[in-house]
Amino acid sequence: MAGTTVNSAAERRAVRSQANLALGILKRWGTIIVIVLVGLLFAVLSPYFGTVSNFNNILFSMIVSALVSMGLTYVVAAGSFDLSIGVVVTTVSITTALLIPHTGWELAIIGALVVACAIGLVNGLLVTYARLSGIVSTLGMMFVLGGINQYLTNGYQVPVDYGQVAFRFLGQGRLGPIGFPVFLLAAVFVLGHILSTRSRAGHYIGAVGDNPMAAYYSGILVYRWVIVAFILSALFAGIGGVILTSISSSAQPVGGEGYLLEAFAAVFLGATILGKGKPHLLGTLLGVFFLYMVSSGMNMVGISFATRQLFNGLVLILAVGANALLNREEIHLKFI
Amino acid sequence: MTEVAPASDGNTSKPLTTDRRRILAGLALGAGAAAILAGTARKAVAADDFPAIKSNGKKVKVGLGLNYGPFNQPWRRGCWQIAKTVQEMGGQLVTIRGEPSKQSEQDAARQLLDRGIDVLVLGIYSTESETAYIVDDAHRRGIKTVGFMVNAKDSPAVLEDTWGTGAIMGNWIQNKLQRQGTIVQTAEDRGFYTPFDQEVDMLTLMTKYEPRMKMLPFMTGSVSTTDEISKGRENCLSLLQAHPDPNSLQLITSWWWPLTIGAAQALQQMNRKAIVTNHYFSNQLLSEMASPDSPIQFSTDVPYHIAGGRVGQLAIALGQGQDVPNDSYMTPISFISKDQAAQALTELKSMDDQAIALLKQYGG
Amino acid sequence: METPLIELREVRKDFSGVHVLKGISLSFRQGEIHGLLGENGAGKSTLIKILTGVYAPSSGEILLEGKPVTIHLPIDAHRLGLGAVYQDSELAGSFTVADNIVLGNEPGGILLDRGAMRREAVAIMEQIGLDIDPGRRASTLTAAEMQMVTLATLFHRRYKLIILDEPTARLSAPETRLLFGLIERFRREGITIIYISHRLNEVKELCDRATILRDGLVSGTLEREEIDEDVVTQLMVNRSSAELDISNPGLAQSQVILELQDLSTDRLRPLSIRLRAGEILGVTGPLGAGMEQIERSLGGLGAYRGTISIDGRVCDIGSPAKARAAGIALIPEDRRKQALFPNLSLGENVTLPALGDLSRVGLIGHGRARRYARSVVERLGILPDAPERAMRYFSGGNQQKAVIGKWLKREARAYVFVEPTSGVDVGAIRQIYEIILELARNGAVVIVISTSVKELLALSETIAVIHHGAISALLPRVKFTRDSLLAATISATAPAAVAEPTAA
Repeated sequence: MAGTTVNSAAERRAVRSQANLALGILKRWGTIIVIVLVGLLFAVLSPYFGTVSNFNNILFSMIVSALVSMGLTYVVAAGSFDLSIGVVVTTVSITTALLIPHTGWELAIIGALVVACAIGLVNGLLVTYARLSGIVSTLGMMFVLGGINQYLTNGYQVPVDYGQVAFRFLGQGRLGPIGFPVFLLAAVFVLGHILSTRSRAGHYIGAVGDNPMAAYYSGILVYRWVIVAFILSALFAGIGGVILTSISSSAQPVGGEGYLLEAFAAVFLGATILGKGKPHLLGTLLGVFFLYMVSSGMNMVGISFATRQLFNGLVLILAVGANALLNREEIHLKFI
Repeated sequence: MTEVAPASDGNTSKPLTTDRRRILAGLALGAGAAAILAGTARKAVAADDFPAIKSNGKKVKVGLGLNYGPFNQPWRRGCWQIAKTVQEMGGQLVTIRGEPSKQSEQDAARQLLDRGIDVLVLGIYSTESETAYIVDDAHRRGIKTVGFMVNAKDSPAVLEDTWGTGAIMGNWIQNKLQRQGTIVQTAEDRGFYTPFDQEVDMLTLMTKYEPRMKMLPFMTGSVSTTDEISKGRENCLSLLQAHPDPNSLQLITSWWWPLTIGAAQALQQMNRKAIVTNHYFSNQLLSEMASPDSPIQFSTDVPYHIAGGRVGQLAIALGQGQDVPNDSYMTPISFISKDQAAQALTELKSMDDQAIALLKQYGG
Repeated sequence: METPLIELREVRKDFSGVHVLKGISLSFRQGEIHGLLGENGAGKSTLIKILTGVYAPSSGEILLEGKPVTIHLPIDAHRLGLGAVYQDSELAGSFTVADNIVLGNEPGGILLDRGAMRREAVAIMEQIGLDIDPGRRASTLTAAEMQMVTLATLFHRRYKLIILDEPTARLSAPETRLLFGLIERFRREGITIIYISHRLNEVKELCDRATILRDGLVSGTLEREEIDEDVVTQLMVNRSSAELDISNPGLAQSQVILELQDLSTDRLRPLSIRLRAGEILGVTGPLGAGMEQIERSLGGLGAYRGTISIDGRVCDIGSPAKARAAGIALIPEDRRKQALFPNLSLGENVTLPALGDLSRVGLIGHGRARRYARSVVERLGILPDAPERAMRYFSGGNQQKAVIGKWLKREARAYVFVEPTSGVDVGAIRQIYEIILELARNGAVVIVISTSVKELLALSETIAVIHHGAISALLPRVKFTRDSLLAATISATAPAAVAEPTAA
């Protein structure tokens, strides 16, 4: 009996440090591990899932949602909410389709993106100078834009002439096996990533979201950066709208609403990726990928409608919950 | 289930009564006689002109996305007939299970392109413009395409006859009211489901030409993600409040069955009398309509099962290399009056049971 | 005569009829360290908020280097080179230390040069002698570390005027020396410092001059040689300082109320103490050396091993709620974050813990609540006497009194005070000491955890010094002098070579 207790203190320390190491790894990579595991699960269950072509399909499907979600990341990082992002997609899409016959596609895109920035500017002004809450003002904007969409289209779709080959290439073209818009998405992501991690704008947006008082006292123009965040959010959604118009060869009068919830799920899921704890662009992108990968997998495996909802919810809770469990703060007092 | 046209497509039909013939005679479109005489440029034709299709024995793989949700029973019946027809004509069906949304059905369609199919069935939400890129991709790979309840670029399609439906509804209403009275329409939000918009516009147009009839503003019934029965009831209650005189409203037309049920509930709650007409059958609607106290007196329907059967035939024909023109074929219109509701319900249930049983093997 | 850096002429400020500054005329020379003293409510906070742009003056002029300037927003002050370190220094929690130091003034253009940012931050920290890992997330810093980082930030911004508001409140002795070194360096760079503190010895050591405010006016400005406790107190409160001496006459009774047996945590070695009713135990030591662990364990804020017993019963203090249920009242140091609801009124704050007693059948008796709030305000002398006003408008000292007021109805068995008079003016200090003594007189056990040697000598009957996670001295107060207690704190040596048996 004496022999077994001789090294127990040292052993216990060694075991504990190993456990700490494992815990550290889980905290950082936990969500990614869950994503990979779920992917492997689907690949095993269906032979069509783990193919290059399916991977391409997933990337293609997620383009608009990814753009919208990335835009939202900036606003959430700044500490606010933007509920109008989904409808902005529709508005910009309609604007593009309406402008093309009059101005040609290049100017139509520019015009539509200017409209997107204007929407973001209004949102930002309402939240800062008008002192409204992000939720309230963007909700209002959502309804206003919905009405404008109806007014512009009367409920009919706006076509893009089949002859607009160059414009349609943006959404329907291919470079090798990969769709062209996937490249656009990658380019936007890279620019967005540089913006958020390396530029002053991204840094200040993060500072404002983290501690607006500290930012204020350090001389940072808090209002300006919040407005910038909203403009970015609308701009990204607008880019999504342009690409959607190209893919659909038309602008539909409604249909952007679904992107809203997906974006929020992706942003908050993405915040747990790499243990950051706060929203970041790469995490958001992986979050969107995860959601669409799960959808594709469920299609392949043939899961029934009822089970789908259940599965979606469980997977989301698991991914976010596992992370929360590992990153337990001393006292859990943050319920948002 | 009662249909307009004589059975030229292999489905059973009931003998037409004199009432029906009178209605037929009043139709603007749809009757074979009118089409021949008018020599319409429009190639979308009535039931009679659906081509007779025979298999030449070649084995065809047909790709179909099963995207209906638990509330889309007509759609499910359509898919059932597609599957049955493909099977009976010696083909093989490849399916992918999706969700009832545009995104999902497009995803499923693209995934099907990689499954070695010969023909792809597109439908029912995404419009021709939105699936153009999928069609181009498919044709590039040598895969044929056919539209189910929706048009598709450079492809044949089987559609519901929205204009015909509107006309039949309009005629029944005008006969019932003897072209006098005030009516109102309700359907889902404009822009969400184009066929509804078309039917609403058709009825509006017909009413405009009757000087002693008046149509109140359209009641918008939100979209399928919300509780539409409640919305229908709520809208109707407001309407009845705004027109308290019992003679101020004679008839409510609802193009979507949950809204119909809501309207009927509202009438009962306010103790008012008005005629209610409906479009789209469902179990719940038919049982309510069968009840003698219910104000629902007339209903049209889109026979998805007929459309499905025709899509199956077109798909096989395309896959076998037969010459199929890229026309849009209209499906005949079903309609019943109150006394036929119970029987329709029985038929519907039987079809649903068969549909569920067959589609199970395809993961539906 | 050279132009002063900042000159204030007849600056007034009133808030909806309440006159806080009644005409301040004052000047600060370039490169001087100028102390600012006064009771809470005298106007110090308001004055510095005007200088830093948080408030705009109602009337009067401010001149910077002889030219009139308007400071209406913090950004104006920032541009003019005027800044402050408040008692609650705020950092961006998820950013690193380096990021925080250069926040707002990062090198680089549109794209940030992270390498240069880190280098600058490290250079600054080296200049100051601050030894913190620049890559650490600010949310992991202690209060003292946060303050030092904030100071480093101001140094980086090369302000002309830096206002320090009670900077040593959370610093231990060695950290205070570090701060003084930094202040000296600032002065050598020609920066003007306004130093607000209640610790006269510090003011006398550091400041060239000191101004005393009283009731919104300048009561007097003294040169360094003139700074003397009596004179200052006279100018502040018009009373002689002799009346402020307080000491514990020895209130401990015989029965043991609170017993800690082998109480330990990750940072505290097993500790056993028995405290009797009416006994006041003072606990001190270097910051981070272990006394905080006592606060956390007794307050239910952290896990511990060993037992805590009250009235002979072992209690499981697993959460603040359980601590309260067991009869332990914790009055923490960071009052604003941990103890008060800034947007609720004074009355609501004070009556919140007592709602159970003030309500019948689950309904709050508003009349009784109001009367109770009023009695607390009176008893503690909270100013202004306005229970409806939101808590955040009250000065630090009155907030502290409000925190104490929260506990009065509960009749706890043991009170744990942490830095009870940090940031509290002289007049209020006396009142708070009297309250603490009265709690002891009524039979409760009181533990006072503080870095103020004078405070412990005034209040305690027994003193414990905690060093490196263990008790290095546990003796009756009478065994300590000011110097020996200070020495014990710094170097962990107990006075009189031999540690006598403990007081229990």
